Amino acid sequence: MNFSLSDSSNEDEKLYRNEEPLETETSNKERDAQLIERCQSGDYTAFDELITLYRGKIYAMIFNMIRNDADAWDLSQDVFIKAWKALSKFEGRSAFYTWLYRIAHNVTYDWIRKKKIEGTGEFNDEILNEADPGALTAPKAYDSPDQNIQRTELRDKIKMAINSLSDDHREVILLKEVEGLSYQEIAESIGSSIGTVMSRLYYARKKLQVTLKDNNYD
Amino acid sequence: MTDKEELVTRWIDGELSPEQELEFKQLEESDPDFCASFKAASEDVREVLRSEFNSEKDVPHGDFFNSQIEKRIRQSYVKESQATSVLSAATAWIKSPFTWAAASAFCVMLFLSNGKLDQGTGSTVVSTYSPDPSVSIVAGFNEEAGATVIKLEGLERIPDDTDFSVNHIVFYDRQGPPGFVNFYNKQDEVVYIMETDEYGLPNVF
Repeated sequence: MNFSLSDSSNEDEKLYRNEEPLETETSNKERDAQLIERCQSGDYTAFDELITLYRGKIYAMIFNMIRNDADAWDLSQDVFIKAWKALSKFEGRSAFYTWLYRIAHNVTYDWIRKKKIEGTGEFNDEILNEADPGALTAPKAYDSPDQNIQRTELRDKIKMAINSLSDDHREVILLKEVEGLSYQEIAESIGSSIGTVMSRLYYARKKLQVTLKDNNYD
Repeated sequence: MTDKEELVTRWIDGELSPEQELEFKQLEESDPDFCASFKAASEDVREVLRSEFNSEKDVPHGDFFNSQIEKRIRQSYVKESQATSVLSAATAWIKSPFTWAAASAFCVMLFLSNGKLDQGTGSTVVSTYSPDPSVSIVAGFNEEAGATVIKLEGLERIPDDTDFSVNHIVFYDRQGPPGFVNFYNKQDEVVYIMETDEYGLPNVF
């Protein structure tokens, strides 16, 4: 089975992916290829290693979309279970994490669709308004009361801005700005063209800029 | 999306091809304010998003997370093989004339006896998990108590003056079913996690 190591990365243009050196990225792909090969020969311990390596990223990606710990935990499990079952068909044409993101995208969108059909109404509003204690902008113990208020206000504005985006726009901008994926990788992850990715990115940025400006964000 | 918008978006994301680099230089010369303001605003958004959202997040109870995936995969294989074998066996069974004869005889006996069916009490084993590998969990149905007993082995001896009220479970939350029930103590710490099936009952093997 062929495992391409750099088919989707744009090495000449980007030396870093979200502060991760290119050398590390290449060795990660080699490591993944070896683990996948072992998985495909039925070695579950190799898959357990892959889970440990990627669970944090998949969990964060899903959590960023749905803002609910318990559901993100369950959905992340579903992603890895689907990945294990489909791993025999993985040919290494794209990077493993891109392939995994694609599964995570499908699982998350299925869940969102189901939630909307059920009409609980909790997805877009209530969940996004819940505090995330792990967020970097969460008030720190040594902040002054004024700083705490400023942080809280900033968090609220950001939440409002992100909340105003559609699921499609939110996902693309998070994959770009938070995950640091290239256009090609995002397109593979969400099953769209690069043109669609760019268009969503452009309008998501525009909308965020307008929302933050409307709320006097400095 | 216009060509100008595409060009400036590619520029911000470092995705310009060599030909587009030239095009962009022309755009930057002709409309420097547009490029500079779009870049500044995009960088603001980027900074805010990166500070607010994490690209990686610790999965709560990571080792439990892994073990549950393995368990669910194994269970799905068992269910698939059972479904296949049950279906083929059921088809053969229904087609058999002996089945019809036996079913008729059973109905007659049931009608004549009209007795109560004994429910019986089977052993119940709860699915358990210990985050500390040195602690083993033995769970089984105790006939005398008429309940499932969970025994933890490998825990340190508890001093006599220990205040047990700290570890008392004061509330719980349920995810699912199927899912988990988390039990919390006074300090809002998870004391125990119980897996439940689709009916909300402890997972039984």
